[in-house]
Amino acid sequence: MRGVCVTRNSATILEGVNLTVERGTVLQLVGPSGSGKTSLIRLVNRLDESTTGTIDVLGRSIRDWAPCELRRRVSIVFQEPTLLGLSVRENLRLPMEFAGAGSEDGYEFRMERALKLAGLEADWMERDESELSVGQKQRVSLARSLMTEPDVLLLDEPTSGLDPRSAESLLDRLRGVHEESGLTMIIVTHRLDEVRRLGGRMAVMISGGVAAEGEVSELTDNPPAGPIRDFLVGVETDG
Amino acid sequence: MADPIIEIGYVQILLLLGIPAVAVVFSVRLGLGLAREISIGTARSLIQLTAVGLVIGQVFRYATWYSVLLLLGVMTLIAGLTGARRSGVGMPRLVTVLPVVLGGVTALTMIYITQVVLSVRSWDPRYLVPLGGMLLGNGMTAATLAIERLVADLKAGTRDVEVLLALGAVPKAAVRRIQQAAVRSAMMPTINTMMIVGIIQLPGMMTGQMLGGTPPLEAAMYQMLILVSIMFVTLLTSALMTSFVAARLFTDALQLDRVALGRLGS
Repeated sequence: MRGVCVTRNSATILEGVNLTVERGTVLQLVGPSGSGKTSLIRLVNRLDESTTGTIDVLGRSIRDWAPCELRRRVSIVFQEPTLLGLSVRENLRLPMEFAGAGSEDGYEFRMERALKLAGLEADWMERDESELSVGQKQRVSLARSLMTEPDVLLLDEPTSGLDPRSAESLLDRLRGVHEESGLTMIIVTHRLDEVRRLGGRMAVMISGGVAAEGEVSELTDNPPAGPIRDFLVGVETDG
Repeated sequence: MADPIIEIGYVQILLLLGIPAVAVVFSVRLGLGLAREISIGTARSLIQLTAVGLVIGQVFRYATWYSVLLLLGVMTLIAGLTGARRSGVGMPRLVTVLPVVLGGVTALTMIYITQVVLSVRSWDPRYLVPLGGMLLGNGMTAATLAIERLVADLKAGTRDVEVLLALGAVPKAAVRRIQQAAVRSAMMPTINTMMIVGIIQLPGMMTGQMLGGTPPLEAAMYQMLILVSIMFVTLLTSALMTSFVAARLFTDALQLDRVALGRLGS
């Protein structure tokens, strides 16, 4: 991302964001609410449009991708799991239907693989949304996002609705997914314990810009003085 | 054959106005605060119906293709503009698109009914004007209901739509369920009428035809023809209009235009 700005109704949401995420790595975006983390990741799969600046995905400007294809290569897991009142199987089938790809038999293998990656058993396939807890729904959302075998996975505070134990186990699974598939991940989070648990690189966003960027261990152990330290110390005490 | 229909003249109108007069008295006594509305409503009905009776009377008298088409054209325009305003979403393009869609769908249906089913071989306003009026009126209501529902559901279901877009859906697929619900809700009044017609009440047109001396069975068959036509017009109009409105709420990059959606009313 180079010089990415977003303004809406004359309010500045993002200002001059420059970020590089190497293929196969994890980048965690942290920062106070309203600092532009979610707005930023929504640009990567083009759910929103930046006002100025460029974003390249897999070496190609996102404006050169067909939007549907881009969204298959760059999946997103939203903050609140939304299963659209459908069963697990129907949810997993959706991205395949939209891609118009392959036969039902072909999906079956992928579905089982995606469920397994998300830490769910194959016999969950026939369950309905109403039978699932929030944490389970979030895992189904994760599995659904993995159906297209994306190159990049965006996650917008995926643990925010979960109790600490489910959150921990989801994070462990995410690390597993990363290790097993080599997926590039950009994850928005606001809890420092989670940041440490997942590791990788992190960027601290403050008021629509990237205030600091570096290895998680480096930044959390020795935060630079000023607003970044204030924020990191603040969330640690809150947590 | 039945006696010719009893004419409603000045004396009868005056006697008829006794009914709203009594209603006004009731309204005052019961403190309903409706005296003014009943009076204005009665006056407006009388004036509007007299005017429309006179205008259609002229069209009936000359029965030329251009007088019939002119009347139907004006009716289409009024129905389209009223529908665009009543849908309450305030999308400027509706003002031009709704009359066109309404006119097109109504014309298509009327051509089938008059030319194929009834084989009307002249520009007979007796068939074309009442049929056109009923189709336009019902089509307008259906379009209004469908658009209103579509916009309300899109606002409430923004997250669902974005989840589908994020999974690689094109806008058409992302709004499919919401659009289906909107069309269904716009169709419900017509479907319900089809279910109970003749059991609970006699529809207006059949009643009118019987008053005019048409044998009940024949009047019933004409009612059937109207009902089926209305059902088709409401279906097609609401499907086309919801597609049009939905399509305008997405950008070229297949993003839900939340700003444009937020600007719409309802």
